[in-house]
Amino acid sequence: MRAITLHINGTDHHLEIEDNWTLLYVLREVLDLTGTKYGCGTNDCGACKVLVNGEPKNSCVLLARNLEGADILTIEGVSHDGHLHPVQQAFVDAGAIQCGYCTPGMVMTSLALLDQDPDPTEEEILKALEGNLCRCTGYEKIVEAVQLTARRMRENAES
Amino acid sequence: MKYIGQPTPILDAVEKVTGEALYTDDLRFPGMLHGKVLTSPVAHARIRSIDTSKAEALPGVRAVITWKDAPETRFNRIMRWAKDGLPATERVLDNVVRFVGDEVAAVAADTEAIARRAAKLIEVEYEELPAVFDPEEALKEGAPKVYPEGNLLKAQRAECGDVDAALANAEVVVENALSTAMIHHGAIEPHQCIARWGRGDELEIWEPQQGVHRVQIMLGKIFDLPYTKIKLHGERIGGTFGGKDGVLLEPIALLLSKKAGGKVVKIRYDRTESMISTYTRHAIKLYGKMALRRDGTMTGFEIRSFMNSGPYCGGSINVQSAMCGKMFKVYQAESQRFDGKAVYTNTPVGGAMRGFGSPKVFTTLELLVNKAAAAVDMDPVDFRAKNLVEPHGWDPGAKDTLGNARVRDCLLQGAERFRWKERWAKRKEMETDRYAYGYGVATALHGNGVAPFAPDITVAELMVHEDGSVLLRTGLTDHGAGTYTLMKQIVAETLDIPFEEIEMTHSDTHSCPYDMGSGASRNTWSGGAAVETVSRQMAATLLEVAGEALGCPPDQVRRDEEGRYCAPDGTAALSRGDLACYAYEHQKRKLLETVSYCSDHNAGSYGAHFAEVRVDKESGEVKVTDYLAVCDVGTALNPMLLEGQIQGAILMGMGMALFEGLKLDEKGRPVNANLKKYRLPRSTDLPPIDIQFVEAFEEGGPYGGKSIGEASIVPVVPAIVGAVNDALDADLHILPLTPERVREAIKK
Repeated sequence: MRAITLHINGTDHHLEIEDNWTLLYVLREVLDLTGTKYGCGTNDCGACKVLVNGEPKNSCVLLARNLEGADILTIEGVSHDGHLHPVQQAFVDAGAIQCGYCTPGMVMTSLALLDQDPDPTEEEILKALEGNLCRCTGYEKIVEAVQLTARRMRENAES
Repeated sequence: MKYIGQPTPILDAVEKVTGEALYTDDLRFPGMLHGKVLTSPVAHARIRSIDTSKAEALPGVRAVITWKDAPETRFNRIMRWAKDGLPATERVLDNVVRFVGDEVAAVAADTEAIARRAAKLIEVEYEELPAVFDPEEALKEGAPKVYPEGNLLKAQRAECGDVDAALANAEVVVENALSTAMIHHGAIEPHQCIARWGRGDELEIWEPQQGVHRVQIMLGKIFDLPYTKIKLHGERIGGTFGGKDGVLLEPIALLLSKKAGGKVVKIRYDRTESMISTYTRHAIKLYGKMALRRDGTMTGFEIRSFMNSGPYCGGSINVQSAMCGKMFKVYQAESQRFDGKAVYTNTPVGGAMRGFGSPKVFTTLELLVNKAAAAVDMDPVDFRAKNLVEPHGWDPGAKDTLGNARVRDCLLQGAERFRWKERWAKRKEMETDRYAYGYGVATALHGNGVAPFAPDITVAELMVHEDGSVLLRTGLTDHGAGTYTLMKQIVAETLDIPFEEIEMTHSDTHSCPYDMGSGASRNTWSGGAAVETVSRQMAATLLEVAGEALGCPPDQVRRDEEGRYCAPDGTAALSRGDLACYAYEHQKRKLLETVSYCSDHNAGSYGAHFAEVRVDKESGEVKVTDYLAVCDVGTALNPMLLEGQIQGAILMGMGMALFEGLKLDEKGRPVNANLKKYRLPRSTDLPPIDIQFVEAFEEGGPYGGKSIGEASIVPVVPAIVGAVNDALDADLHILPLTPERVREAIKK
């Protein structure tokens, strides 16, 4: 075991971890942050996507011990004071959610995309989401949710 | 209508989008142990010995089980009800393993890491037996036998008219073949189960499960315990598509719990285990033959099918029977024959997956229809229009009416919207040195429930509280597609109650009344009809109570704008809560209605799909570049959820057509059982998708609506494969159409 401090959702967590523990394991099993999901364990499905210094990463293949000092954001840190983030609201409104198991990962990737480019083209959205698998929706309404978010954010900025 | 027909997001969308929604993997129990299953590395073997001593000696290990701990009872993993008579061929753990991935032993330990380490310490000596991996090979004389009595699980033949005579007298005969691959359901949530063998043999299970009441029956049989001692909590499902239906991990987790003294045990399969050790969509080889007149009249056809069931029956007989039943519902040809054989082999187990056989039988039939149209020099849309069934026509297979089968409307409206004629005529002009373009069309269906082949039962109860809010109690299970949302829409519409005043139970053996399970496209059709029925009963009861309370006949009770119940002269106005209080106080009863609903008719949900593909002649890669799905939905009960189902089905069908297939090496070992090598459809595969509904009230469904989830995948594969064959003037028929296979076809 080694002592480590992880900065997650704006809070420092002082932890004792094993060298081979992944970030996903620490989030789910140590911190009970179960919004981040296990889907494959091999960096292929995106269900465990979190933001590390603003970049979407699959937490199932990140070793927790390498993340000291990093700024980690999980789905639990996305909404504030009970208010959904515009991306989350758009996922609800666009019907982009079915079973919901891929949804947290999809939201994290979408957040990172919109942060870097508030007005992405459809092609850019599809490309950004390529690492997030969804078996229910066929992606169409997820793309619509990202477009809806961009439009609403633009309208908000204008008004 | 206020609720029916409104685009309504699923009820728990906010919980899901915030990560608050709990799935099985998120549940925590005090002292919970973690299980790991050891699976077979060989395709067929007798276990000569198992030494578990090293595993048991590892600190933190609490239980190890092998076949010696398992009951002798053989069971079928997907029984529908107590006496459905399906072959019972598997044991919880056996001393013979029959495919790579078959369960051999299991460990429960304090952590998953310890359990994994311990499983590796179990020493098994296998006496290898000859194995067979292909259904046609398995039927040959001298083939290795999966069971002493032979490899034929079930032959099924059904015929109307005289197909042999039709073929003998035909002016034109066309033939085809199709080979489909084992497909992983690909739910992003892998299979898992949490179980406790409690004191007094009280069993309790928490898991994603399509049919809690069915699992109760099967566990009762396996462990010889009264059903009522077996409690299943169906947790929120992270995708299933038929893959979490029936018994898989439950008995193993229960035996571990029992041996560990009643501690709660959780087993979560990893992705590879989920792909191999549960079950897949069946790999099937099919052969079609069709008799025609030169004017394009289809006079007869037959489909022969060889289904690879793997070593355990599971749902194979039912899937084969569904293929057979559906086949007779699309074309008017006088003579039709289905001739299928479900066959045991030593591959992973075949079972239910979205479409339940229909994608296979209709891919064969629709590709055959394309050949037939070409053989008589007809446009494939015109050829279909000439031969398709009519609404309320006769189904010679089920000997029942087809219901409001709007397949012709789907085809003709779709052809116009897609500008089929124009694009079909010009498609060869689009070809460049690099790319060829092609078009495909397919018409097909899936059913609604299991009638008339089995009782199709959902029990529903509705109670009005004394404040007017209501509780709907059913045992239905939402796959994630929005069943619970739809049930609330139905109650809300029928009783004019806002969503906020309706709550419901679901997917639990002990807090819910019986439901036969969320398979067979029966949630909307049967579940919805049960809920509509009980809601209408309650509406009538409320009027009766109002009549008594207001001192007038029920049919003279009026409703005001706020939905209150008023006397004919408008003097008194009682709310629903007032009526519940009146019933409580004066009639000494709760306002409760209940129905044991059994659907007696099986309508078809048809569709006509149109695809444009672009084939890269250098790389062999296929890109779907345009897609139209026109769907016969009865009433569009919730257009948002309908679209979501259809969009998901198109991508899933695209996977089956172009990318997906679990591959085995010559010894039956999977070579691509992970999501790096097994290619699921991705966002970048999404084509422009246009969806249209044909709405025509379907008698028997709730508010005239019917199923879509399974129906919408059926025409996808033939539409896409047909388009690729059109682009290349080829006869590609081994799925998936990988770039290698496409390049091979181009070379020819």
